[in-house]
Amino acid sequence: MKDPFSILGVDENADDNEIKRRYLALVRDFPPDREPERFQTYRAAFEALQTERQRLAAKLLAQHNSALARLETASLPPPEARRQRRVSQAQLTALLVEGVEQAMARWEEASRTDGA
Amino acid sequence: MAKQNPRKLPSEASTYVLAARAEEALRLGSFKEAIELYKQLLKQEARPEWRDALAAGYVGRAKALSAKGLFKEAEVVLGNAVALDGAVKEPLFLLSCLIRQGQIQKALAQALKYIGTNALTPGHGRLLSDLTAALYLARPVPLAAGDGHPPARVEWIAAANAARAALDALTAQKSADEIEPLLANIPARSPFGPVRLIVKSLLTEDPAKARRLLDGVPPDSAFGPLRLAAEAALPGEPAEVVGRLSRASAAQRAFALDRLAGGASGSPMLARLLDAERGGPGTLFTFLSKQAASLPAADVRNACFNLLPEVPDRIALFEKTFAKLTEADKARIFALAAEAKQDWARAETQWRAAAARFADDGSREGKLSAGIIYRHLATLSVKEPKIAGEDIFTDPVVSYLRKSLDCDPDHLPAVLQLIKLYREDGDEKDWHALADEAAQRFPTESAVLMQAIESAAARKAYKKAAGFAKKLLAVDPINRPARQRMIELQISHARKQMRSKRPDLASMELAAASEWERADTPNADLRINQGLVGLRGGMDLQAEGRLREGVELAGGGAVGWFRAALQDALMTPPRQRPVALVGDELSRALRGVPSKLDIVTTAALLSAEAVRADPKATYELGWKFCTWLRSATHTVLSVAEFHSVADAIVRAQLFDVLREFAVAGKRREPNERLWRFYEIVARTTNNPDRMYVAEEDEIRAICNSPTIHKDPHGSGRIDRYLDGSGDDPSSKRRARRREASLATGDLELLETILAGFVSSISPRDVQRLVKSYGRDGAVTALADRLAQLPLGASAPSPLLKMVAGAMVATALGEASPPFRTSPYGGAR
Repeated sequence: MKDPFSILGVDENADDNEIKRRYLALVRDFPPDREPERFQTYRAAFEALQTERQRLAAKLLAQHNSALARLETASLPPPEARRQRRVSQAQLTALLVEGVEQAMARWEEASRTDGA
Repeated sequence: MAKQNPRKLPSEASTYVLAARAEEALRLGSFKEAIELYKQLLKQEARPEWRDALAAGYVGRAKALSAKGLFKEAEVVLGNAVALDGAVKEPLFLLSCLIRQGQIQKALAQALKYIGTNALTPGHGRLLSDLTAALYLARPVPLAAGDGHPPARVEWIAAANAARAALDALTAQKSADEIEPLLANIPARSPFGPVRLIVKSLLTEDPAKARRLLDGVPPDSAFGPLRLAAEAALPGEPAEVVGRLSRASAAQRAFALDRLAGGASGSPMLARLLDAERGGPGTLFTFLSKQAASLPAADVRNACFNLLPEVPDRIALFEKTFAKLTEADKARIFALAAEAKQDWARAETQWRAAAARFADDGSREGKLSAGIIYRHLATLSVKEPKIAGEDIFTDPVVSYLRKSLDCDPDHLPAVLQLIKLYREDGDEKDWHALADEAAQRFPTESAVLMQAIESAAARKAYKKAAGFAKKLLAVDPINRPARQRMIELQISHARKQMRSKRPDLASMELAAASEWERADTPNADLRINQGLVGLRGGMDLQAEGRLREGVELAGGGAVGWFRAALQDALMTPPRQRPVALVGDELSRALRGVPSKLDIVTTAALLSAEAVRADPKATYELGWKFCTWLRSATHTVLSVAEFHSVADAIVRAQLFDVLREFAVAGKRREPNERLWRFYEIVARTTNNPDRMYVAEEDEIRAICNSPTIHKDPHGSGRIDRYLDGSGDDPSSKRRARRREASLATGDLELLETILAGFVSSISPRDVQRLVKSYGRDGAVTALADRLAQLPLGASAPSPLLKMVAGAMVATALGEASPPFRTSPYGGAR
């Protein structure tokens, strides 16, 4: 699992209120009836950061990438300066091959489970 | 040397042997051997079944190679199978091997052969069609429908070309107005339907509409990553965008950032950052450490700090660029790096160093951090045997939990876990001390108060237990288990008073117990015991009424009177007759044929802890129950329901009754092998030494069957039967005989092996143990350690304690030579 700070998109020094606010916003955008798996992910991340001890444990016992993600966002140009949106064939190929590989891996896993 | 005649035909017998060997090799998964043998057989005679078996051998071998990551080799072996008759045996598996090698064009060419055919099952056909759609769009090739093509293939090719045209228009930066008509040509229900939804979502300016469109693409389809990438590229507040980007894969993130930033030229810094990320943690660290001036400095520092466990050799560079790290932080980084390499010994050392530094810090956060690390070490030591703990005599889980509580005594789950461990390990002194301390520290936590009740009850400190129970019910008034436990405790105390011929005290005890009873849930055992004490003491005019009320609450009839008889037996002093009313009513009730409910409920009563703990008092009732069962051996019981009934029958040693149940069960459920197990138990009178060889084979087959692994009750009973560790009288007798035989026969061998251990521990170590844990604690610690030796596990615990006791005595200078007396009394 990715680190809970990155999943919720909060700073690793975020307090109770900020984490709760962010979690509720995500649940509003992705309600459990429409996106059950995603909701489970957010719920697990929220529960992993609910107390001071849990937040400290998440910081101490694992790496987290939220600072890197923030740097990427800071590198984005401001919305008014964004140019025409592009999609390249290379990107499409990479994503479609990723999808085929993942679907194939799921099929293999299911075949193994059925065989067992 | 005589030349062999190549034309000489093998004898029929050798062919038969070869075929049998080949079949066995195929069955056992020795595919290489099976392939060689079938090749030899086919040289002799081209039988179709041998050709099919050879093909199966090739497929099996290919799968074994693929499981080892040898995809190229797996493809070659599959090719051998195709060469036999020209048919691909497992098209999806071949496709998987090609994709894993990155041979997308070859995979597409292979997959396209199956489009529009019925060569695969419907499920596999659908999957292959979806995969082919994604493969085709990833690496398009010219496709045209031929004249003789089936309609399904023609439709598929038309949809493919429409989707291709739409994607070409998208990558050529054409306008939405130009792309929309192309999308309309893609049938929504075709395997290319997701392309229509994804491209539409990329064209719309409304994020909510885009999200709705993307919801129509299953995330686990071959188009899932494209959907997630499109979703990550949706505009939103910065934190939301960050969250989405951090969850995305590298390809998804590159796509999303390109869409959000308008390409590398739109954000050169972002392009460089992504390039650095692709280069790995070292490259990224180097890149970031030079960007403190151009990017937010705090985030650059944090991002670099978080990369350090992956590149611990950059600690010096980090300190030079940003700031000095604390010793605790450095130890934490080294510990995480060691964990990533699964170097558990180093991880443990570094975590301990980090915890010690955090604890020395003295701040609240430092103490909490140390507690967290010690708990982490306790968790790790459960999974990793290389986490050794602080000393060899203490379970590392226990020692790390103890240390965690020294730093963070308010962590409730650790307290409860440690109490549980002390209790399970029989470490009574620590268990009671911690339970009492926890009850003071967490006076309103019901889980802690429940543990305190159990601890006080185990010490027979009933008043203390009642005090904890009162506190518990003050915070949790409807805590049913606490009320039930208190009633049980006071009933067992009242039983003790009755056995000491003090019905007056027993009556007072039961009156106190009734305070725990809720008006809406009267307690059957309490009423029965009040009635019995009243009848035996002759003081209570309402005693019979109370007894009958209790019996009714217990279900009435045979079950109710059986319960009353058991309660009576448990409180009866030795050699005293049961209460006449109970005896008469029970005899009357047992005249009828028991129902299924009667059987199961009464067996459950006989399995209760208090009943099993006093087998002498309750043996006669168990025997009566089993005699009663004689009239009901054809009752339809499932084997799960029968387990506890069987236990009661075995304890009563009425093996003919057990046999009749087993035979009837086997007739009803011929495929349920546990009935056969019970039949064997009955024939051997629960003595595994009396099994025939064929019966041993049957038991082995039952143990190896997959169904038994899903039935812990059944497998536990088989284990107990084979170990002879049941609680019936003959199993206990056999266990005593085994221990005695080990004591006299194997003691010399044990001496030799244990002597090695004894000499490896210096008297000073033992003295230190005595100082830390007291004499008894040191003996227990040494005996635990002895039990972990290869032969120690099979040695009886009294013997280990004796050896440990002798070691302690020697270290304290008061010893007689060890092992000279038998632990079972008497000199050897």
